[in-house]
Amino acid sequence: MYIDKAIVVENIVKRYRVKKKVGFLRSTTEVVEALRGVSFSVNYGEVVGLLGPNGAGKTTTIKVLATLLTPDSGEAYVAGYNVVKEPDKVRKKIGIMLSVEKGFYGKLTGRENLEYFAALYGLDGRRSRERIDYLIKLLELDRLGADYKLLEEFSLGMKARLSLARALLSDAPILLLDEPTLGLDPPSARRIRELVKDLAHRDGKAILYTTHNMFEAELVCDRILLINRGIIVAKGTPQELKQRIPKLRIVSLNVKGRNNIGNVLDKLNTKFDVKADENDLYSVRIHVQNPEDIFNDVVKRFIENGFEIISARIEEPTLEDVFIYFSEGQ
Amino acid sequence: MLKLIRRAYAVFKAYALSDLVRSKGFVYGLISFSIWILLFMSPLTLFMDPQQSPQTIAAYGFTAILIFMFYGAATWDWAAELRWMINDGRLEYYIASGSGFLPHYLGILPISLIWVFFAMFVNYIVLSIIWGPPALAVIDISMLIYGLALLLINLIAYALILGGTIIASGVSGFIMEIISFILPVATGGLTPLSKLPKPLQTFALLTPFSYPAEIIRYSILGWLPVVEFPQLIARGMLFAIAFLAISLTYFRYQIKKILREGTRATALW
Amino acid sequence: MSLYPLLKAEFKLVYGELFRRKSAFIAMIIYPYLFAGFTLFFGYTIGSPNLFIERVGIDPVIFMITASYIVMSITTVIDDVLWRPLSDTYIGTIPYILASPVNRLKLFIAIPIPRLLAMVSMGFTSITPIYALYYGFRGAVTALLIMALVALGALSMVSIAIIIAGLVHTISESWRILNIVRPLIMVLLGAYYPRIFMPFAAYAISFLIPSSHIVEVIHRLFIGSLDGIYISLAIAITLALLYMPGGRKSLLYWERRKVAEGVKTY
Repeated sequence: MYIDKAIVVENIVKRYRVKKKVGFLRSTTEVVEALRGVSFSVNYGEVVGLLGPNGAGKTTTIKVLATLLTPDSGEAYVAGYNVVKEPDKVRKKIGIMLSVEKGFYGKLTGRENLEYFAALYGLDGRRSRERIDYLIKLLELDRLGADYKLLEEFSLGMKARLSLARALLSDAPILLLDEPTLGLDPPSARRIRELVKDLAHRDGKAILYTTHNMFEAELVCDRILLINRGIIVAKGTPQELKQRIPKLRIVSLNVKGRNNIGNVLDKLNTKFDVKADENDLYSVRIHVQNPEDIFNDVVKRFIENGFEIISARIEEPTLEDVFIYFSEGQ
Repeated sequence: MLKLIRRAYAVFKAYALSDLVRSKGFVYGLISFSIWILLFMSPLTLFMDPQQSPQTIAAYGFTAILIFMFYGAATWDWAAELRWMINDGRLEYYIASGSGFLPHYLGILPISLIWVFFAMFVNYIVLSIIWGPPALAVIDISMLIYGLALLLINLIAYALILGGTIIASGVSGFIMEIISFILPVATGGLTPLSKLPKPLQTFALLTPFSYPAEIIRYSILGWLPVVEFPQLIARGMLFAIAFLAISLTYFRYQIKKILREGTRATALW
Repeated sequence: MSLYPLLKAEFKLVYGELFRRKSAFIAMIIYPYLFAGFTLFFGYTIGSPNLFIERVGIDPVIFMITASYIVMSITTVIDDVLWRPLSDTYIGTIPYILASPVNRLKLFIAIPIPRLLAMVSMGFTSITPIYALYYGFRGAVTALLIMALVALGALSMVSIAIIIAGLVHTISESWRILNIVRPLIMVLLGAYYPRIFMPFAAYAISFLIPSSHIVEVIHRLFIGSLDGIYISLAIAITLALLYMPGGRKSLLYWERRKVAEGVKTY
């Protein structure tokens, strides 16, 4: 079933029962709905981002697909196999990257850790060695000393790279990456993001990538699923999502000049804000639905009226705007 | 003073709720403890003369385990607590808060004593099953109190030395286990000094631990110590005070050391 | 998936940790002497070695050092199998193990082998020198035989340990249960306190433990009696094999429960 799609999730529901203390010795049970009917799909050759705040249900979704959590209802298929009924077949098709900080044996080197997990994933001696050599080079772990440094001496960035290397050990066609750049320094985070994009676009893998970082989601993901309180509130490419919100976009200019700025602005048939300072500097923000239509015209008018353009740009709504718009609707 | 008591009470309440009231661990711990006593005590019956009073043997076992439990508390509740603080990343917060360790330890001391009390209750039952009810009688209550007080002082000093070593050099759990095993044996904590070979007796009397042990054995079992009572009392107190003074100095030195060099990483065990 | 790559991986994991954490390595050498010394010290204090020899038929030093060696080796298997899910959970590797296609039963069979091999080899530092001191060359040969029997006894515990692990780790704070199970098995093995002296109920439960039969074989060797040793060996092996399907079911049960609750991923 669903052989052509990498991941198919249909109406997954997951509830947790949490004990809540109400008195000295008494407690009640509270039901927390971690997933309330989540549905989506992921194709081969794309990076799909699962974007949401802490507690939204991102990790729960990953765990269901990684066969680490049984949903209460709904169906999920990975590489065409049902995650509940055929978990062993699913496990042969996935590579996972969970918490970056934990998940390795401290007294083994990076290479030794990979060798251990390669055995778990069924790689034989020679294939295992070749694959590990390749991955260590790909993730620049040789340069960082993965061959001789014990895991407990690794920095967080190194652990993240090693974690990705482990996810790639069996060269699985589907990768489930749970906040892979959390806590990393910018160079390490950027390297991970570049690799993730290559794995999807160059190698044809299907990647489900969870993050709460809107900026990162926009950089990495081909499509985004916004999740909040256990449901998908919106889905689409980053651009599609931004265009769906009714927020006006902004043409933002910093100009300098002594002439009357009203001569330029009064002719505009739209809302704008102006801030001026003593040095004849003006900060102008023009709110408009389609800024591309008026951008060149506005710049030309300012120049014709004797103003110097210090800077001019079009401000887009951010994914944060998108997220807030869709989540407040819930 | 009030602040100290309040802080200590907060620690006591937290540990009492988590370790004694809410955690099943208290009961499981007692069950486990009773099985360990069975494991170590039952082979000893193979050495016993059938003519010997089993209740006397049981009383000896009871006293030995009582002292062993106190050593265990000093090692695993007090000294090892610092190790847990390092593992959990709490130690730096303690130091930075400026409240020091005293409130924390005043808070957990009653917890240790409650645990020892319940453990000895279980101990009594297990020994009664193996040999018969231990023949215990408080011969001299004032000496018993004095002995327990001396023991407490010595164990606090020991915990300070072990704890100070842990925070500055990350002593492994295995080393701690070895120390907690050997120390009570080598210092006459578990066996009457009169039954030890002479060289070991001499060594034990040079350590502070043997004095409270001899006093407790006398006051519960009536076994005469190898040293005269006035000497026993005076030397015991002198040793204890000197040991405490040395250990406090050592602990302060180790705290200063970690402020200069940072805490050592420790493994889980 | 064959057992060999798993064994290789486990060997690398265990020996990597063992030789890099010296305290663990030293512990393996010292513990048999520590436990034996402890018991002998008290035994000699409260009683007499002659009475021991009268009752048991062997010098208490030989008996206790062998008992410590037996218990250390057999509990190595129990500890590794029972504690591994907990240590993997603590380290954070458990999700990767459960999400991998590895054969769970083969993995759990492979887990205790490396440390067991190291522990059994410690017979060269514990029982062999003592036996050689007491009985000369014959003693050293006897020590080798006992090492082989102990290895067999320890291996026979793998299946029952897997059953216990699968059942216990579905309970929260399972380590507390393990702290009861472990000393209980140590008592029921009959290494320190021979089975023949145990009350009937304890004897009956001990009978169900495969390696307790191997311990009895060793005790019979002490007193020079070969009666029934082949039957005892056969019982141990049969029990170990009988428990194996239960081990597989137990692991499946544990995995299903873990996945139903959700595997911790930090």
